[in-house]
Amino acid sequence: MHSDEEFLGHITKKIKITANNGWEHVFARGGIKSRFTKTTAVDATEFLKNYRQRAQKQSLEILISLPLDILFEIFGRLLPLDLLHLSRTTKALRSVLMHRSSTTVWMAARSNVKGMPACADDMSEPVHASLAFDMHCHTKCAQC
Amino acid sequence: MVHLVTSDNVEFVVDKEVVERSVLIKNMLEDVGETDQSIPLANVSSAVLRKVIEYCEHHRGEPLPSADADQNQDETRKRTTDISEWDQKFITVDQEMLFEIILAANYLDIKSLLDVGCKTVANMIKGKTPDEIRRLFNIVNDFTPEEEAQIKKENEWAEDR
Repeated sequence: MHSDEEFLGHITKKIKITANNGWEHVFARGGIKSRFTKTTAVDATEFLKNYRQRAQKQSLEILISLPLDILFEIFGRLLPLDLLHLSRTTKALRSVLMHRSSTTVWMAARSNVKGMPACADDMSEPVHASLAFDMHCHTKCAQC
Repeated sequence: MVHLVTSDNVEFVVDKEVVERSVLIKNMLEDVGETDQSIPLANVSSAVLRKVIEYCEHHRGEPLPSADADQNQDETRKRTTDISEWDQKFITVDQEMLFEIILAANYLDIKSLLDVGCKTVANMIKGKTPDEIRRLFNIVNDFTPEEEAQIKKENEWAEDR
């Protein structure tokens, strides 16, 4: 058994890579260019300038960073299938939507479908939605 | 006239009737009474407030939803995702601005504007596959392919599994 200390013994410096400093480390280690051409500091700043701008403009993870009440306000106007799809986009959204506390959102989505039967007592809302709208087979029949 | 100061220190002078579409400001003015002092809005930038005021100007004089009618309205409000033509044009902005407007409408408590914003986002999501939704909002897929296949079959509440 190695102790952690021994195990990490050959590592000279530990760095923490985050979304903010990730690219700097990429450049410190030779960058994104082919390994035969050397990345210069100018390249790096040039790339970072564009990258930051692009990242800022597109970091529309704002959707997930919205307050939960607003998120629910939006999700309550969707259809059950949309909620299923949303719950499969990322772990963050999945943990929100697949939590029992989101029942009201699923109920609201269900009420947006005319004539959709109520959810059975022994069935959770997401299961109900999946049964009604998902395109794949639920009982593991011979054809599947 | 009411003086508003945004987070980036821009002063707006707006008609009381217009600005009172914000329940937050309406209540504030009722509490404080007539005043020449400006109201600081630390959560709203000038670019966003300009849009919000444009919206309030256009809808000036329309009846505000009353608190007790809320329940009923909530029902009809949720069910429809139609947006009037003017509102639709108004809300055709980039996503960042759209979310900023939603946040401002929530903060300033302007129900109808919050409504328009949420409907717009809902309409963007409707009928899209998970992958299309990710691309739309530029969110990164953090599921492995195996996990992705697995979660398609798992629709139970997380704590029940």
